[in-house]
Amino acid sequence: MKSLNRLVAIATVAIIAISVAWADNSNQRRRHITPLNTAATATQSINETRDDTARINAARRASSTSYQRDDGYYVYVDTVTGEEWVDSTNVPKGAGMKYDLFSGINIGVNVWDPIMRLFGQKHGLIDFSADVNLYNRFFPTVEIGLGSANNAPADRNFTYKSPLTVYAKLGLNYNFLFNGNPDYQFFGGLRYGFSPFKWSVGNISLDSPYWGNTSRFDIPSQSATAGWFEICLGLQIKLHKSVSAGWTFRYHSILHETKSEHGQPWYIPGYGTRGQALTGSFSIYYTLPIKRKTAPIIEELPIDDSLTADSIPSNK
Amino acid sequence: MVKFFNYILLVLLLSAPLSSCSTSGCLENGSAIPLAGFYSSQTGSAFSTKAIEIRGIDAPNDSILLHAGSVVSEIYLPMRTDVTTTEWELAYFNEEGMEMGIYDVITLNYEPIPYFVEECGAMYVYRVENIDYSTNMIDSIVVKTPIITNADTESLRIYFRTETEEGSEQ
Repeated sequence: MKSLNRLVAIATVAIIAISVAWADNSNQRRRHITPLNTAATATQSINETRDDTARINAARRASSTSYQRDDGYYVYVDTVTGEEWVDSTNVPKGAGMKYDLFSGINIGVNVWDPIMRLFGQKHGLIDFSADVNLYNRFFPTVEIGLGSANNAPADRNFTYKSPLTVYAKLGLNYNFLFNGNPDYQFFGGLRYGFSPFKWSVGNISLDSPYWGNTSRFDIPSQSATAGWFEICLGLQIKLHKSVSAGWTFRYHSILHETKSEHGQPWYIPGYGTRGQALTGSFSIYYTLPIKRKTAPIIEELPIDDSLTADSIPSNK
Repeated sequence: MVKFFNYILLVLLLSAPLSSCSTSGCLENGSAIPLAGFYSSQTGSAFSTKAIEIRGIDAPNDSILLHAGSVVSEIYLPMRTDVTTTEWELAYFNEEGMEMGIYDVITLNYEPIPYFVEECGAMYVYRVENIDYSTNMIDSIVVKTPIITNADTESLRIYFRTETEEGSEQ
């Protein structure tokens, strides 16, 4: 039995050896040799790079002078033909922006609620805002305010109170006139607002005509929080030097709020009254200037008639 | 990126008025009063009757909430706000309009909860603790909502025995 196994193993090795030798031989018979240099290989690299814009642009740059435009782009000028072209591959950060990344800080105060309180409004107080002017285009904004309510409608059966409390809003404005005159802004924006507050309803009188009695009761002070979003649309116009003013229309909706078995608060500081989906604000702003990029002053140079095309410097 | 922001802003601004139309006026009742519906214990379906008179027990001048002869299938049952129990008495009449001398009493025990909603004002809502009733003509009562609010929906279902043993309708 052992000798039979040995014979099978020897036969298997022999078959493998013969197969490998045959395969080697057949490869040799099929091998083709291609010449290294032909007319085709001489033009191959030219054809392959014919549409390579990087190489083309590199070649054009080498034969041109260049300057940087106000908007940050590099413009190359062909020294022979005078043709100008913009290097779209060398886009500087912030290209397309007329103004600097940091163009100023605006501090604002919303005077809408104080004015409306003079005319009988029973809620709201005041809020302040601060935003950073980025490229005169994006304005990350924070608003912090104080709000309270004390309302006893003449034709209703309650007195609603919300003591003075703070609220905050975070968001961003987008100036649609970002490359225009910075004295004028037409912007849209988004906000997220949040307020922790208390509310109570007192002096409630409830008539029961059938049972012939009147109940008097209160809803004790309720602690609550609320968060909401706002969509803003507004204008801001320079009044004098660093002072500007503007109005904003705001559509808002509550995202989350504390549930209470005693119902829903009528007034949420920073949000306003629950029943109003649209509100407005009117703010006065003071701009703290940082440094604003201005267009370069081009001095008129005397024309030198002796200048010839050959004397124009190139970056070759 | 900028175009994307513009599109988002435009969509949000256009959609704003669509969701801002639901905040005007009190669309429910000004007070929380349970609405009781009349049902047949035999068929399980709502029915109308003119054979029931309902009054609140201890109501001033024995004021009647529902006069016999008025065809109704449901009725609001005002609750007392100065106590935590309200009782109603139901008297039954025959087809000739004569009182049959059969009565049922419904007793509702509850906890009044002060409640405020800006559009409708301040009121009580009631957390039902239990309900007792006699079963002369009433088969059963189902409390559909554990808290009775000012929503204009059915809070109680009163199932009456609408047929005699001989099968004739009351």
